[in-house]
Amino acid sequence: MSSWKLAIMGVVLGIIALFAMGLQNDPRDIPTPLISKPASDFSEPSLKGDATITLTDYRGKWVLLNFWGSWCISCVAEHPYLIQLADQVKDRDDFLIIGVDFKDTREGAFRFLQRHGDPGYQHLFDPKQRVAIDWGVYGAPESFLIDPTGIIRLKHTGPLYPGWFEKVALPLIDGGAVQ
Amino acid sequence: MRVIPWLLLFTLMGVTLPTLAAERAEDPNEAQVREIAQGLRCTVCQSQSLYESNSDLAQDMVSVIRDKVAEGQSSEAINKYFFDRYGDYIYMEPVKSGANLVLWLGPFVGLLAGGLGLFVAVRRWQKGQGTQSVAAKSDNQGSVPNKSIEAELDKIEL
Amino acid sequence: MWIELGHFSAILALVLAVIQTGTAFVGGTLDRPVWVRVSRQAALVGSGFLTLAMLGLQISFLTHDFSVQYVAGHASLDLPFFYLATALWGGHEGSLLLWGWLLSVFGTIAVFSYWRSQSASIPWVLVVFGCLVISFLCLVLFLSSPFDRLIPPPMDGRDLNPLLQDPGMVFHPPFLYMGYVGFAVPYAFAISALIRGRLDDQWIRATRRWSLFAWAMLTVGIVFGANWAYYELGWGGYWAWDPVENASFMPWLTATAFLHSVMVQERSGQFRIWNLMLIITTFALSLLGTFLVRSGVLSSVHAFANDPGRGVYILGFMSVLLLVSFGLLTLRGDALKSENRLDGVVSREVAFLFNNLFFMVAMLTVLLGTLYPLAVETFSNAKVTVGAPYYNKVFLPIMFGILLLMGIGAVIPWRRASAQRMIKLFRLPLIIGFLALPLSWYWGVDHPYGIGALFLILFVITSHGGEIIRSVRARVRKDRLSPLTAFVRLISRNRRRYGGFVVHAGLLVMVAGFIGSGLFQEEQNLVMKPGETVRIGAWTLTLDKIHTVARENWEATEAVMHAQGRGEILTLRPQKRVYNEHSMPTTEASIHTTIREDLYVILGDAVGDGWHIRVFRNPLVVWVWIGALIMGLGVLIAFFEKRIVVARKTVREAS
Repeated sequence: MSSWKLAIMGVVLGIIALFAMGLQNDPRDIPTPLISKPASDFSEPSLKGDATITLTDYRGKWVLLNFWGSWCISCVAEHPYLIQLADQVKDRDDFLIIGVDFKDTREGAFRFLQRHGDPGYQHLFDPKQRVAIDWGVYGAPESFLIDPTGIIRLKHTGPLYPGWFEKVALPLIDGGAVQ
Repeated sequence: MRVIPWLLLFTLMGVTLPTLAAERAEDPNEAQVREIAQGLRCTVCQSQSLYESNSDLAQDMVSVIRDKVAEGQSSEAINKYFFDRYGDYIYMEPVKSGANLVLWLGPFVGLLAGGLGLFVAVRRWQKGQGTQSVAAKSDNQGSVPNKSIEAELDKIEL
Repeated sequence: MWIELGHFSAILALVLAVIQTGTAFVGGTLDRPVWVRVSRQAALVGSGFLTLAMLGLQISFLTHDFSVQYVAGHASLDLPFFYLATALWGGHEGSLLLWGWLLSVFGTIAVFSYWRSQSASIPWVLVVFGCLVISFLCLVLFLSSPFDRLIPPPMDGRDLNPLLQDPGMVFHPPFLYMGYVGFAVPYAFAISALIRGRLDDQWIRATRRWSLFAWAMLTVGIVFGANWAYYELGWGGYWAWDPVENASFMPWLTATAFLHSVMVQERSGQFRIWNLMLIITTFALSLLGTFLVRSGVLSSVHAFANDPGRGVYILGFMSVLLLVSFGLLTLRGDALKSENRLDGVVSREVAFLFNNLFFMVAMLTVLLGTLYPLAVETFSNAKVTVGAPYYNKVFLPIMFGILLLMGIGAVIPWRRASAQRMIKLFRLPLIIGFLALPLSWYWGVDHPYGIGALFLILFVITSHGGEIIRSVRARVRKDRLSPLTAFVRLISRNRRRYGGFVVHAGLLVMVAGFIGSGLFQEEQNLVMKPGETVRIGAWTLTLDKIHTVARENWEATEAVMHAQGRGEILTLRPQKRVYNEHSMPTTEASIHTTIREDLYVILGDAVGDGWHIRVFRNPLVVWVWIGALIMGLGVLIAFFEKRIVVARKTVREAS
């Protein structure tokens, strides 16, 4: 077989293989470069407007930061699990959840919590999505797990699912902070 | 004829308004904002830049850029801010390093290699028929009718 | 009722396509003309049934039959008639049906028109078309059927995507598809030549018109798409190097290479394999285009029409097609190999070879840029973007090379050119070309690409013009004709050649448009209150008022502005539209076009008591559209050449 034949067939097979593998990619998913990086701090008013939430206040604890908005359809699907998770971890002193309600209005968010249930933890209010952009968020829901030393350990894009805590978060928590 | 009053109005406005109306121009920082935002990709709308996108996220990201430019941050710093958060994906133009060099050099290497290969091949195809080449030469410099046939041939058969 | 008729017809068409393929295969392998005749009849009746299927769907649209899921998803009672009548290809399922229908009809026309002259190829052409039609109809019928019912029917449909309610988008898909499918004809003849292992150049001559037709349709389709992007997407540009745009551009590049290199084969029977490869690649890339749009494997503005499930099927189909076509090419390659002989290194043959090199590299560049992100994503965890700035930077030098070769290749003699001839041909074009320097100084063009493009435009125009003038003069001298008669005769006797010249001229006009709008766009992006003005270029724009307007199926916020400049006063009305059935607003740019520049205004959101407004001055954009028209005219001239005759014979007749 001469070289031009090999070249043609090689290119053809390569393209087919690439497409076959590419079909499994999610064109909307953007991998984050933030893993193992120090979390970007914020100090913003809470959703209820009664407090200021500062991330560094929670050093020493694992923080699940959940970005959501009342406009987001998948957040509705995720919500029951967040309620369940909040209840499940309410006695742990090493883990807490903070919500970030972004690109939203307070009224919309309150209506959402009223209709779908209030998991009880605190929410940041980020109407201009400054915090969201600072965290490299491009959709909702997105969740980050931050370890007690303030390092981002993982990002989950899309709704959290029942069993996520045990399957994904606990092994990390049990493994301890980085280094 | 609804046009005429409008025309009149506009003519009048045209004459008077520029002196009356406040003339506005875009913010002097906008050119820098534009340059940065055209180089960054909108993360939700697929293959449009932040500046060209109408999506909420893109527009909010542009306003982040605006604030940072207004604070006096350099374009490099702002680019890096987004790069640190969204990775390579955010740059419309892939960085010129590592594996991406395939993209940047590939076409020119292809042209060069192809050009050289073609040149060698052309020389070989030409040499591969020594006697005919002479024939062609004599053909070209041959008698007048022959020459005109060639010329005619060249014109007709494109 | 109509939809069932359509559905049933489509199923019958599938059955007939199977019969067509089977009988043609038997007829071809066992040499049984009767079987081939049966196959031809099956093809004819099959395309008749597919036409009925299209009609069934079309009538369902026109009668607002919302019990048809596809109609309910892509039309509404308020949809204006023009869009209602063209909504058929406004979605995935309908476009695939359109593809299949065109395939079937083109195949039948080709088979009937070449029935006598290319009888040896016909069985295999029937087989190739049969297989293609079967593949498309299976996709249409089993994976994305436009014939499904929706029970209970809704009172009103969900309306056509607002972005598609634009004339550009109405014409873009059918022309593009006619281009894609048009290449199926030369492709089928090429495959047939490979299967038969015949050495002749018959298929190239026979399908020349189809290649030209397909190329023209593809060109027009691409330009309609660009036009749509310019008017509808509202970002001030017309070409974003979106993966899907690239997918239509790649077959265009290889098809252009093919149109040039077949001339060498027609003249001297050389480069057979190369031409086979080009046409196979062109058709494969056409399918790749469909695959990219329909499978959702790449992210793009066109992402509204994707579905991974169909992606798997199209991938399978494409793999088979690629493997069979290129497999045949490599298997039969040696048998078809022609001995390449060249008389001179400086000749049109060689110029065409380099033209092909540049077009291939251009295509591979676009392919690389399109596939690279996919490869990175697949083989590492990262994701990169290869966006417009990359293509603009890399593509421009290649395009300049192509333009330079265009100026040389179109006039340089076949076989060999002496040094004196070269000097005679290119001395003047070079001198005129260098007038670019003072001219760009005069026009204030300081960008090196601008100067380069100007040089090339002048060079190519002069080289082409010089050739025409020389030929006219020769005729005037020889036949004592008036220059005008000589000119008309020259053109009409060599329509293909001078049609090509016209196409080249059109391209130059387009290039001027690309350079003008690409390098010299100006923009003002600001918040304006009524009564305020903004200056851009020679224009002063005033925002007069903001009000609301409504039509059948939309309501819009409209800014009324007037612009003053260049001795004109004109009104601009950019809108932000919200269609009744859709929540996403669309921007309707208001565009004032002059030969010199476009004034392009977009209305954004309210900010405080002002409004966000973007004003562009896009120099020479209209030249892009005019250039495309000129190219179309050129193809038309070339298309109606009487017939391709064997060179020697013509010479004898002429002398």
